[in-house]
Amino acid sequence: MSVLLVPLLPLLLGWIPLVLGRRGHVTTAWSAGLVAAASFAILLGVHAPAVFAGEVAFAWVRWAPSLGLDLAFRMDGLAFLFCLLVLGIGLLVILYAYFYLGDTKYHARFYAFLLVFMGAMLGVVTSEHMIGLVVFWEITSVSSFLLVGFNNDTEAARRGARRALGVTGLGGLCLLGGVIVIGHLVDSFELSVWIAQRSVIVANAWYPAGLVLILLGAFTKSAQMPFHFWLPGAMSAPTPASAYLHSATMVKAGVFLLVRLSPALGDTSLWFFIVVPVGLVTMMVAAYIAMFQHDIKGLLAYSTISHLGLITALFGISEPLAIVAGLLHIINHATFKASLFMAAGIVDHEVHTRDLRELGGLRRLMPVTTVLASIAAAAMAGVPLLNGFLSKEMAFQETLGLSRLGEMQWVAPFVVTLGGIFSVAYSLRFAWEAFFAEPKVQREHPPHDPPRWMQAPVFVLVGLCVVVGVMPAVAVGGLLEVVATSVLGDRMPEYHLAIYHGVNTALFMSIMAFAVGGLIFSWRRRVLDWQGGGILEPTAANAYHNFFGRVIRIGRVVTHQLHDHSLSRYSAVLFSLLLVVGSSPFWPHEARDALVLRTTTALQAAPVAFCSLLAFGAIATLVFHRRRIWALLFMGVSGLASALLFADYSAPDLALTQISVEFGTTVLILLALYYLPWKTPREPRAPARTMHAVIAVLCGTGIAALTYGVLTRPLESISDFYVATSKTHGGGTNIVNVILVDYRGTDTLGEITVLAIAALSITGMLSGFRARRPTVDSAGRAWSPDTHPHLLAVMARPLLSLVLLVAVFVLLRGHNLPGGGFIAALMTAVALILQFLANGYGFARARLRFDFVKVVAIGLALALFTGLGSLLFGQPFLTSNYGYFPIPLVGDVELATAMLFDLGVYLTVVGVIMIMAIRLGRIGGVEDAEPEPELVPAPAEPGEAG
Amino acid sequence: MSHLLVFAVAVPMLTAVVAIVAEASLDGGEVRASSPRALTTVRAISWVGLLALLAVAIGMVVQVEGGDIVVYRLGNWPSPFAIVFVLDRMSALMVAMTSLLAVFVALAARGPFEAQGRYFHGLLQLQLMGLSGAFLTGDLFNLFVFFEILLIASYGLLLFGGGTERLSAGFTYILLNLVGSGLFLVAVGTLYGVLGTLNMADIGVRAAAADPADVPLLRTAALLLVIVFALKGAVAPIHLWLPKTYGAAIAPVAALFAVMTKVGLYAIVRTVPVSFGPLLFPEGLGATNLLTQWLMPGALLTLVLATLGAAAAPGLKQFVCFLVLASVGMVGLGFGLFTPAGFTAGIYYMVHSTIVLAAFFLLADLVARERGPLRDRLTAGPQPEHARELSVLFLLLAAAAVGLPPLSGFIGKYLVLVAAWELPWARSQIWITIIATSFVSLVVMSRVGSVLFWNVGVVEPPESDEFAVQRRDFLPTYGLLAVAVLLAALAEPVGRYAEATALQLLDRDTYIDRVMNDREPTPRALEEAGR
Amino acid sequence: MEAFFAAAIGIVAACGVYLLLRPRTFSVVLGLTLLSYAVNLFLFSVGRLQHGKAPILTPGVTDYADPIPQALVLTAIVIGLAMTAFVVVLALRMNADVGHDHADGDAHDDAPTKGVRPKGDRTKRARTKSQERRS
Repeated sequence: MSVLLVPLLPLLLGWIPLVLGRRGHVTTAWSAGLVAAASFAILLGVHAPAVFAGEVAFAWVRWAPSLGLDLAFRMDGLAFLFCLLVLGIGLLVILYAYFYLGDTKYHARFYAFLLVFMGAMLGVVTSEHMIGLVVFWEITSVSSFLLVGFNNDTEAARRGARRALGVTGLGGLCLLGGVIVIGHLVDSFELSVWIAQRSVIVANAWYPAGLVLILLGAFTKSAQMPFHFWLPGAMSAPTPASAYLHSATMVKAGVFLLVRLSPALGDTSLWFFIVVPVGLVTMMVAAYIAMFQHDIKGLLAYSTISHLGLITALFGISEPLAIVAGLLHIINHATFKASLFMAAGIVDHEVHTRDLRELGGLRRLMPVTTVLASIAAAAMAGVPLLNGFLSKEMAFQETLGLSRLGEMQWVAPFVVTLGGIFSVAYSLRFAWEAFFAEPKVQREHPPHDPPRWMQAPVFVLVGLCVVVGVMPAVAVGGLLEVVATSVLGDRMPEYHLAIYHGVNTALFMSIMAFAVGGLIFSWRRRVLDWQGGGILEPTAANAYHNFFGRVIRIGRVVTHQLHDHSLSRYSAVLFSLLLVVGSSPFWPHEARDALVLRTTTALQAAPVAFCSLLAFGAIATLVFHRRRIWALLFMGVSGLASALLFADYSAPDLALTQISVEFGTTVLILLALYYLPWKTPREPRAPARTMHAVIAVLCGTGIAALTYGVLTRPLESISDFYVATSKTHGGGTNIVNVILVDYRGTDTLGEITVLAIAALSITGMLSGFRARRPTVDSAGRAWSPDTHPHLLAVMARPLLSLVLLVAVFVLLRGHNLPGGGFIAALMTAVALILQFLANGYGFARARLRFDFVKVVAIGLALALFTGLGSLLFGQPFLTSNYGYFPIPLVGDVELATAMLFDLGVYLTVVGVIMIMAIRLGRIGGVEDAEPEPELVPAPAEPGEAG
Repeated sequence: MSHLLVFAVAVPMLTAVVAIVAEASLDGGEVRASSPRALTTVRAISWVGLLALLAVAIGMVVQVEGGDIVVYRLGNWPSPFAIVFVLDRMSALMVAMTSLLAVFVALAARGPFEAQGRYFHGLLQLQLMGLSGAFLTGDLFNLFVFFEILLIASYGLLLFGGGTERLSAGFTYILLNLVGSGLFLVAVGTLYGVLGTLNMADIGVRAAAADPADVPLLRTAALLLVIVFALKGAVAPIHLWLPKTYGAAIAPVAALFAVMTKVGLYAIVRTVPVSFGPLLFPEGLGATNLLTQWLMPGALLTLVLATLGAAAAPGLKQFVCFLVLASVGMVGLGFGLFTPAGFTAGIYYMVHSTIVLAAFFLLADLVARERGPLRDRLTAGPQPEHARELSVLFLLLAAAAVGLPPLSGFIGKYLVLVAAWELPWARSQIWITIIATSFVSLVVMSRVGSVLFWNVGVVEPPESDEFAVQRRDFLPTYGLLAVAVLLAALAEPVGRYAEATALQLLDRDTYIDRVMNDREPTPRALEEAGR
Repeated sequence: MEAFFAAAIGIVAACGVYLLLRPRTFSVVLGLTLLSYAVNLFLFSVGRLQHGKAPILTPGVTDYADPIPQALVLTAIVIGLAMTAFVVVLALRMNADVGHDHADGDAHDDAPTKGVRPKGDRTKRARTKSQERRS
């Protein structure tokens, strides 16, 4: 299980530096170093022996196996090599960063990010479960985003970070996709299974799709063209981060993925013809661009891209020896490139510039740095006796005689040689112009070598370059053997690491490279002038930038066009959708005959009349809708007509309700209209009237067709049940009412809740709201000052008690005859409102002193508890019960629990309507009313005069 | 017979009633906003209700964990003649999720928000009542009623705090939904007119045996119903109302609304397999057909438009609104497949997005309150006072929302991709859309973050009004974030539950059998009265 | 009869939809109400058009009108009342606060950010509005 610890230790202990943040830089640096060291110790102490013994250790973390999500780790040669790089260089970087960051404020944050990245990177290289690999892969992207954007006060850093995240994030998405695809081909996400099932995968029709997606992941991470542009942008990261992420580790994740999967997916012609060209082109072009970089970090970045291209190409070739060469070059590149970045950081740190055009003459001022940097640069150029040479030789050798290229075999070596030439040139330029050339600018504070410990990491790495270069077999032979075996298994080739392989094509190629490279370097002035600034601005970056510019612009346009918050447009969309989708079942021909005529009844006089009235009212409303009072009246006509229809089609309850609601609504709208404009003017912007008309007509037709279609069907419904049980079990003869309070009582409970909420919201909306009360009507006539006719006032008071009596009667009989809580409530409300109209607000309010909100609440509670009551008798919610009770004078009255429920309904509805009426009635208040004249003393109301 | 189901509705209703009476009697007739004195009382009441509801919800989850379906016959009438509540894994999950979210919403509303108007807690409780009812009912018309409750409660909450922007945003929202309600009635009417029943299970039974000549009519009704649900779920092209509406609401309400779109989607997966399976899926579930031919493009369009909108959003809150739309798209993609895997993905993503986006709304509000006059506008501005906490929260929530591992969004996206892979007809379109949109939203997300937290000037002391951010204001956001993290950490149990839920949702026969046939001994011998 | 009835409902619905698509809150309210008439009648009619049947249980009568649609419509009407009241008040408040009764949001709230509207029509609208005030 200790395999887990290697990645998880840094990942899960990443917060430690943050906690120690206040203790100062030394502490945070040490904490980070110790965490890394612990992981490193486990790696060397526990795993090194096993790995060199050729064993593979596994460890599992069950995350969500049933979803196919798991974290599985393996420690084999390849994983070991990368852990070595990540942790070894990681430790050096922490040491280096301590000096580089100096007294920056956010050091704790830096180490935290660094540790998280380290852990994620270790996770990537040790993953056995491919989804787990994706998880860690993405974490590296995020942590690199944070590291690149570390100095986020500069726009360059911010953009660099965003691009790095964007491009590598895209890669991560593709990788996830590819992993899922391949995983489904072999029904497993485990690497070993993939390797074992290679033949199955490669044979499948979806292999290309999966491969391409996975390769996209690898290429973006390893900055292969055309995705390379994020890496130079990421150079705005603090140099330790660049040295770590962008030379030694993260960018290697891509090539790691290639070599890791090559046994499973590699060595097909598809693989070859995608990977090799990309690698070769990247190698050559990036090296060429590198020659013209003035920023030394930029130069190193492009050099990194170029070397990664070479490695990619080698893994694309996927001959055993090519893979060995690639692995060796990974080691070598990590060492010399990391040290070069650190050197560049030292220069930047001491001289405060990274521009080759301003640098120079550091040889005298910073001798030690000069020596180290020059050796590293030489290794980068591939000078013999340095590690760069070995792997480059092998690489050159492997590009020869690629059978897959057929006639075009010469291309690969040619391109590689070109790349070599350029790299020699830029290495020379780097070393020469920074250190050996005459200083271009004189500084009053001459820079000097940094403290010894800051150079120590560079020293170690450069030392490695030399050691490997001089005695390869001893230094890396064993390691390389193990690593290569873990990748190639039984395909392990015969090879021997030596400084000199005798005269062969590869040697000739290197000599070419040095000769021409030197030539170009000596002509660099002319070359620079000739090249100008053209290629230096990578076009891919612009493409990316423009792409997002376009996305955002399109987004703006589309969003602005769509979301114009015009209700009419939104509803037009809705209705159109209804028409299209709703009609779709009738598109096929055979479906049309669903509308054939079936049972129909003959026309009857009354309904025909009512229907005509209904339609007339609607049309008139439409015609007069600009003259609002008229429209309102005609609408009332329609409402009345529908009430008549209800009555005629044997639904008395409905008719009663419809009429009373009609009354309520009309009064309400009239009240509102009092404060609204009285006419609807023609719109200045002509709205799409015709289109709306078409939609409207079609909708009408649709509804009509639907109605007709339904009405002409024979119906066998569940209604007989109610007829059968309403009296016997529901205790009422008014089936509709029994349904409302018993069978479907929950609906009614909900319905009164809706009323209550409406009342609450309305009070909320109107609280503290005053509208100016118009003094004249639409025709300009002044409103009559006599608000409360005396006659009415006198009549209204006795009327109240009478109406209340009737209401109670209607309420009680509701269970058996038309009526019920709702209608009774409406009657009561009307009577009460009448008091207000007749006697004025103050008078009435002074006599109706209770808060109707409470009435509503009590009503709701009553209904609810009636329902809950049945629970006490072990019966479900709203189970009704009934019995007969003798009441003097009235005789036997049947009382059902349902009636309690109906009483609740009654109270709620009364309360709600009173709230609305009072609130609305008081909007106008009086011109000179104070802000909150609630419960004003009666005299405030002009009505009292009358 | 377990009364938990009815308590899920009764508890919030009762709480609401008590809270309203308390507030009304403490503040008297009419004041603009609740007084502190009233608030302390009402808040206490509300908390009791919330915790009780949460307990009920957990109880329900436990009860159906084994996979059985509890049928509660309101009024003790046999099906299909009266209303039934049906509790299965899905409804239990929905109620649990909602009540959990509500706790954090109440927490977030504490302080300045709830004092902006009256009856906040009453409305909140009634909203919860409507939601629970909608999740539990097994009767189509009763679903309509509960939809009305939760809608009008949401109107009240949306307008809470007043202001012209809320008014005009509210009007659009309300009118569209009222049209939707009318449509709902038309659909229900048609179904009753042809099949003569309202019970979802019974509809399923009778629809399966419907006269072929009636089938097109029934299909139309079913599709109309789905459109109503899609309108509430904000599926393109009828999603237009959402951004402004949610953007206008006060932060806690916006956070609560993160669940509102999910109600519509829930209604789709609840009704379609059980009631309309035989109608809409002649070749069986999972195949492309009359419904998916509309739903799938709609979901894809939603995802694309939402991503574009997010890219163009001028402010953080608007941005989150479009993230909500995007989540609708993702969930829609999962549900739209009508396969076990698709439903699993949809369910997981639904829970994840509800929690994460609710937290995001609260975060957006915190940011706005700390950036002075700039509010949440996405332009370089002053460094917020609590920059560290805010940026950490943003990083995590953004990563979760955009689907970066190892957070819940990643799991959800992964599940959708896997589910889509199983269906050749859906595979490529869904994959391409998801990869493209996630890429764009990732970049956009990084832009937003870098503008808000990196591209900052000097620290400006924010004007200390009652909206000044205190430490405790972070609490609900942290809490929701913790839940999201748990969703990822406990992906195994959550995933299993989602999977079981998906299978149960698609198993229409069991559902119908449980609703229609299990007669519990009722004191009234009604069987003879049955059909 | 069914055809006639259906046609009537269709007409009402059509008028309702058209008014709903008008850009003024008041027209929208009218449209909504008309639409709800149509919907309620439709919902009622799905119990079929039963002329002169008994709604109340009375001994000896066997043929009754289908009560379910009636109950549904009753609920629908009441809920409709609540919604209408809510919308009307909302429209009222909007008209007072926003200063106009337009239902098509952005194009008409006078935020300076909206440069979409040509100059002329703004003034024109102002004039129409002032007329409304005077009237």
